[in-house]
Amino acid sequence: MIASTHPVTVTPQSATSRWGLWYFASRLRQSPVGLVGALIVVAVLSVAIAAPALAPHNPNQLQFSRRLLPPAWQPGGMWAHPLGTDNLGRDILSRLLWGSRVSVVVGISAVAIAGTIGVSVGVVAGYFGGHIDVAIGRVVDTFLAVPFIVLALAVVGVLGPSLMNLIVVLGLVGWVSFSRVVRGETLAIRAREFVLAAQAVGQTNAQIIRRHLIPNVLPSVIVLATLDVATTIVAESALSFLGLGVQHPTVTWGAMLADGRQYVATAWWLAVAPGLAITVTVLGIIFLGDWLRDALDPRLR
Amino acid sequence: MVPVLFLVTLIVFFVIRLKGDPIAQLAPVDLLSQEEIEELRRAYGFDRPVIVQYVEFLRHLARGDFGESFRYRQPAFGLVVERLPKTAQLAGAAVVVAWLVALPLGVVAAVRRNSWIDLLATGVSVIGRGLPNYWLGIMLILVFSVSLRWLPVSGSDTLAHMVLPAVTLGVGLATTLTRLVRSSLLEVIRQDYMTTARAKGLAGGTVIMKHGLRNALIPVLTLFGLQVAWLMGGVVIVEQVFAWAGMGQLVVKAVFTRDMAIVQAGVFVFAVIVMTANLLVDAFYTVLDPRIRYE
Repeated sequence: MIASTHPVTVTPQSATSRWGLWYFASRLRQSPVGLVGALIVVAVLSVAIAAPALAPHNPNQLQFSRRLLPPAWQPGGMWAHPLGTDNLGRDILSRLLWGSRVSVVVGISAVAIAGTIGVSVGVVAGYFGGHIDVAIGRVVDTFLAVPFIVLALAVVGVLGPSLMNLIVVLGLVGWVSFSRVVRGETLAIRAREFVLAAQAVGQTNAQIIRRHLIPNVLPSVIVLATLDVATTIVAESALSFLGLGVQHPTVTWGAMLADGRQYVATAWWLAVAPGLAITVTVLGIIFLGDWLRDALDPRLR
Repeated sequence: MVPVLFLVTLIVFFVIRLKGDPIAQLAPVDLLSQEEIEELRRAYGFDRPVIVQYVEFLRHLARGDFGESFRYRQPAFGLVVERLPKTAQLAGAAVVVAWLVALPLGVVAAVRRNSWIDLLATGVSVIGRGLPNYWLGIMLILVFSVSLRWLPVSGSDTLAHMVLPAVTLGVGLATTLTRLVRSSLLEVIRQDYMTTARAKGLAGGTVIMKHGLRNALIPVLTLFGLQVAWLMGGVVIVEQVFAWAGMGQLVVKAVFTRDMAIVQAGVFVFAVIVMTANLLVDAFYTVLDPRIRYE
């Protein structure tokens, strides 16, 4: 069980739980930054889900007569294309909306993989200690020594760029941060009385890990997972920017940026729009993550 | 260090075997006949057991031999190392930029807590956390190369070419560093020896610089060591943005031409750089804190 460290002031019954929605909502109101983060995250998720309905144009529709139109408020722009068009006459707003899908899907799926591996490995290392811990520590050090992007680059280069490969690669490369945090927390929890008591009454290691360790590291893991989605989205866009992301006809913000890089001298809006989208999304997730950390787990500060 | 280096060799060895037959990664198999492929397989030794291949791989690696790049017809390791100075210049300049920004900003933010400079430092480091360096690079090009025409758009020939990529990477590093310097110094300022130093009449500046900063930098340095891996990843991308002819650019190009010997050598060299940098950071502790000694 998780001891509540905050006075709970919301209505009794179902909402008193530390995990209750109302509890979060009421706390969120007290933190403007957290609130902004939550709103951005909800907005991006909604856009990703509703992209087909929201996008004014087909994101891959070529219109050569309307190449490199500036945003609507600029001279020469038109309101049919509020954010302008790219080098092939494709509507930037529509591409921006559709592009959110890859970021969201890759971000969440890769972190789910990384989190699952990292939590398992970290709990095992922290709980059993000894040679297992040392061996896992070496592997973690190795993954820390090889730059994340370089390793992902090499692996995607071999496997070929596809949505699935990207998720798997970013998941397999990204577990280390989870493992380190979870190992540290497990070390601390392992020595606590309730774990010793569980051992004393003869619970198996598997039971102790499942019932006592995992639930107790969960708050930190949720915080870390949130912040890691931001890191993963940046990494995914970086790979897409390099040309190793999900390929055409799927729209990605990173690939849009790569186009924008080429036309930076003549059409600034090509690079500004996707970059802003990435930055705002990532900042929103970070704000939410920081707030979650303060709310769930003050120790992590 | 040694076990980690060993595990890195395992990664480098297995990365081209992720899809089974490594020959498909090292040679343009669709252009070759079945006999030619068989011959190449024998030439590379891929017909032998994996363990034997790995031992052979290690023996070659010990001599700095990662095989030949089939594109350049030259030893891959040499090609990568040839680009090392360019990458080192860029990374070094970025580190200088980062410390030049982070040290004064972090110190002033800590000393003048809650002043406008503190707010600025906090604001910049918050925004910086969400700013992808490839985008920052493009925006800097937009402002300083396209609009103001002060600096070249891309290339790696002169010092002027280095300014924008170094600033791009440096700012990314500086956002984290500023935050660390500030919080670490705030921690130190409360210590008793700081009060003592002030009480015995030392000037405020001396207290901060000699007693405060020196102690505050120890935790900062630890995290800076971890940042080196991030910096190397950033180098790969920023070199691409600015067409900087370094290792990163070579490796990225090699991934596209499926020149895996170069990719393998590149992954290895990047890992060695990160490990070496961390060793240097460890050695530097003893300079900052004479109490730390390595046996």
